Amino acid sequence: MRSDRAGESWYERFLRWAGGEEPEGPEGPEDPERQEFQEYLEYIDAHGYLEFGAYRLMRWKERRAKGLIPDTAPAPHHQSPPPAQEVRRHRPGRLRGQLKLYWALSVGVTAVLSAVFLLVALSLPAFGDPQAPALNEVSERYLAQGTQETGAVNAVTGMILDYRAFDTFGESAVLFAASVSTILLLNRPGRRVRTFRGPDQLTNLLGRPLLPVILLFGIYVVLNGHLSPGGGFSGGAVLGGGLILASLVLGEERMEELLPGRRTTRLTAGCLLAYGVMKGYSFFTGGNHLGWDVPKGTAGELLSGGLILPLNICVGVIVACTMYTFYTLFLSGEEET
Amino acid sequence: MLELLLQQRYYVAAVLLFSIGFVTLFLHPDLIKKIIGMNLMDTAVFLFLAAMGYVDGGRAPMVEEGVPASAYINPVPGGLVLTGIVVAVSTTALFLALTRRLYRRYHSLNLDVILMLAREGRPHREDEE
Repeated sequence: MRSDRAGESWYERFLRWAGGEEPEGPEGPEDPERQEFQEYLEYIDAHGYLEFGAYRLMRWKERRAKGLIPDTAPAPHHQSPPPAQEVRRHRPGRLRGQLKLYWALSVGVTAVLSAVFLLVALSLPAFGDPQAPALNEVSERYLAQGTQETGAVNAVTGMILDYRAFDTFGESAVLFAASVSTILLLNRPGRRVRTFRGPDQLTNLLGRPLLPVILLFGIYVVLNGHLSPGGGFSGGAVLGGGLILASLVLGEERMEELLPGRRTTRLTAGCLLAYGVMKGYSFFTGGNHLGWDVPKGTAGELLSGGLILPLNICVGVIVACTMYTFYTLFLSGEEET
Repeated sequence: MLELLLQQRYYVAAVLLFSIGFVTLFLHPDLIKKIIGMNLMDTAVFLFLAAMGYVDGGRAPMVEEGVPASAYINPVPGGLVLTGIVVAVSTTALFLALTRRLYRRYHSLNLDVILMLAREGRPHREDEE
């Protein structure tokens, strides 16, 4: 049966599926989950609507009442609090038992706070006022001489990666700290149980063609940070999303081969160090960089802007690796149900 | 009064969003809803900052030849929002990781239940570390 389909392409498989052919093996007619779902549909037709989770809980209770389940198995729903303690909503504190007073007080405090904020907001300079005090000589200098001094056409990128590069360094350090803290909290060696069975036909059909497009677009946004809206952060977010899609399409074991957790951590740390070294020379040469001029190139070219392009790449790699690390950490460590 | 509200509509919207997020932190004992409230407050601050940078009739700060600096919007608040968004993402991720660990320990997402169980001594679970 399988042998005469050995050489078929994905398009022929799609045509077979579109024609209504039943898949074999998992997701075929012998799938026990599918049979359970058919029974659930018949139950709904007979007894009226019930949520699928509630139906499964009911069946589980029946099986436990009949003694078919050993006593150490946990309940299918973790969310119910232990039944021995009656949990009434009370705040452990001086307002114990006075819940309504707590609600009234919190709404009152928020109302007072937002009234004060509203008064301030209404007495701010008018929205879009060209004479607003916020539009002072700092932003004028950034816009008027930004391209000459930084080489970037995008004034915001020139500002955050040249004039105010230290702030961006602190921000990348915050990302790194969050990534490390999440690893410390969620790294659970040993029990890694997969909760879904891997890519199905729809994910493969849509995900595989889209994956190179998304990764390419992410790289484009990172590289064009100084020429058009974009830069390391938005491009890094797109790249991180592409890596998550790759993990869904290629499966987790293959992604572990391609991009293991240690490599992402080393990439993040290495790029943060590279950022610090690249912009750290300003501490020794002073704000005007006397004697250490980095070539600016012509504005508008890809290879221009001094150190902005390498910095954008570093930031993009940090953001993408952090997003992917969050995804893998939150995914692994799912408990068995 | 109404014209003033309409003219400063972005700042008013930011204040409204901030107060909604703020009151969510008080009124919901569920940890996930508290995270959503914090994200609402962050978004309100970003809206406020970005609205401060607008100049009437200005265009995006992609500098071109021969155009005076007054034709662009203020680029400085945009940079502040960039940093703020990244910090908000980092704190949300850390908050969610802490929620995961708390759930693993107490099997509840309700902050009242967690505090009560913690006060009485946490539940014994031999299958955890």
